[in-house]
Amino acid sequence: MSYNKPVPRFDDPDMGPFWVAARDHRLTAQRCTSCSALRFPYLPICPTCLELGAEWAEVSTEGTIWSFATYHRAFHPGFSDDLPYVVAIVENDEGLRYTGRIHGPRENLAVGARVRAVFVDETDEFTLPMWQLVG
Amino acid sequence: MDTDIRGKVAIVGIGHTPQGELPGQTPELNSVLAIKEALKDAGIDRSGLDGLISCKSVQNTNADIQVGPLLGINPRYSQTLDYGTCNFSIHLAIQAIVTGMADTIALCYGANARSARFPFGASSPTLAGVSGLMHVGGPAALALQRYKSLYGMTDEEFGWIAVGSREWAQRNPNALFRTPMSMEDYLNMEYLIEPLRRPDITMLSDGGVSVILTSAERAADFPNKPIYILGMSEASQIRGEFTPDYLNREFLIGASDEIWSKTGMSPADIDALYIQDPTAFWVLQMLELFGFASIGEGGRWLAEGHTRPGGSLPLNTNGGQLSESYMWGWMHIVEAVRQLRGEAGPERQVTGAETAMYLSTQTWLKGGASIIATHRG
Repeated sequence: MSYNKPVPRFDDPDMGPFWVAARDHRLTAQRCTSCSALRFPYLPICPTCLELGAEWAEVSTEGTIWSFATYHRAFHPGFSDDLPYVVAIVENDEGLRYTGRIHGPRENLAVGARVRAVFVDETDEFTLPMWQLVG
Repeated sequence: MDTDIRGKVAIVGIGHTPQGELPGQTPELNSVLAIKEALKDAGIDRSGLDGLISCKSVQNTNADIQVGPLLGINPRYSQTLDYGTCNFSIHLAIQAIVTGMADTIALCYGANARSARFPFGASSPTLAGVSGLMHVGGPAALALQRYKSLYGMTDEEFGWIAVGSREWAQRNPNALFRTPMSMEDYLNMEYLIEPLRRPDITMLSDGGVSVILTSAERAADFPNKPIYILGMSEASQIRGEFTPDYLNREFLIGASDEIWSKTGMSPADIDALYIQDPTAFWVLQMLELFGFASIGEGGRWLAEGHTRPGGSLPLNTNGGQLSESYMWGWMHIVEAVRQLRGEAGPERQVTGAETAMYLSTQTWLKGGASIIATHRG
């Protein structure tokens, strides 16, 4: 069956590097080459020091759930087979916030619970970083 | 420099189209039909306007230069705000009137999001979007889940926002959702985006709304009882998701502190409260952040019944966006004016209402507050 959910653009000069790294099962964020501040998602300038240079850097795949929401209805038809599914905001151990899917059972989900990134190959070229409860 | 705007500007006209589904009517047409009603209410001809502030629709149309050809006037002052909720439009109109850039301004909003099948739940291929975060209910559900975890609010306590809105809507002939909904009915409904249920999230509807403002001096010449603006404030969080904990919307405390200190008033002075309500949780946050309930106590406070018909602080007596119609908050200010004029009808008129407050936000990016009254303060 073909994949009928939204798919990111890998040739996007801004966010493409994040998705290419995800395909290699690496979680990344931009790191400012002047002040080393991390940022995600993509911005064309560092909002900490207003310098332009940045590189995509590998970051911690461990974090805590800031909060989570469980979808019982699909607002896009591609998600109807996933119901119910959970989207969470995760703060990784470097303080970056990622909004992403929870992988695995939802019974023990809680604000503040520890999670780790897992990389789910959705298609041959598209890998989605998700978050799974630790322990 | 005199920065006190208290009592210097008044609302002298309100108007709106029927609410609901208006097939074939563009946002601009709905705007102009609403202005026509507001002019009638104000007892003036369009030649009496020298200002127009249009508010872009949720569909990003309804700019002043699209409204102008239909309205048939070239006012000296004309602006468009990309986000209205009416609060920001009122604030801009006050600034124009007190500085003499315009004397009498029509504000307008129009949309046809319902009949045009606006894709309200659409997502972009961002990490959040491809992960399935969709609809404004998603971020609100995230914020509500965290709140419940921190403060232990029950579904029943939270449900009083939606149930109370419906109770008010049953008293409002303009409201689209008037079917009775008890707390039991509410709790029996399944989650849509847990912990939000369908009645906790705005409807979509078509329509237009207009409000006319003028200086307090000129207001005396208009037929209706003038409703004066006593205070206004705004705050922003335009860094958006790059602000940690952005969904808690604590930046609104800045707008709260400012309006209470500038007016010298307090929540106890407010007879009727209006809070723009894309989701019920945004309402709960604003009740707390503007000091009507203590932080973390909003649910218990709601369960005491203050905001319901007969309560001490009537809230969204029109039914709000949850039960009346979806006009991005514009019908809230229309209702506030009706209440202060004493024209809300026997079923929902708040006895002796002299002062009302209107709070609104652009998601987690901007917020505004206004206090309006039957007197100049």
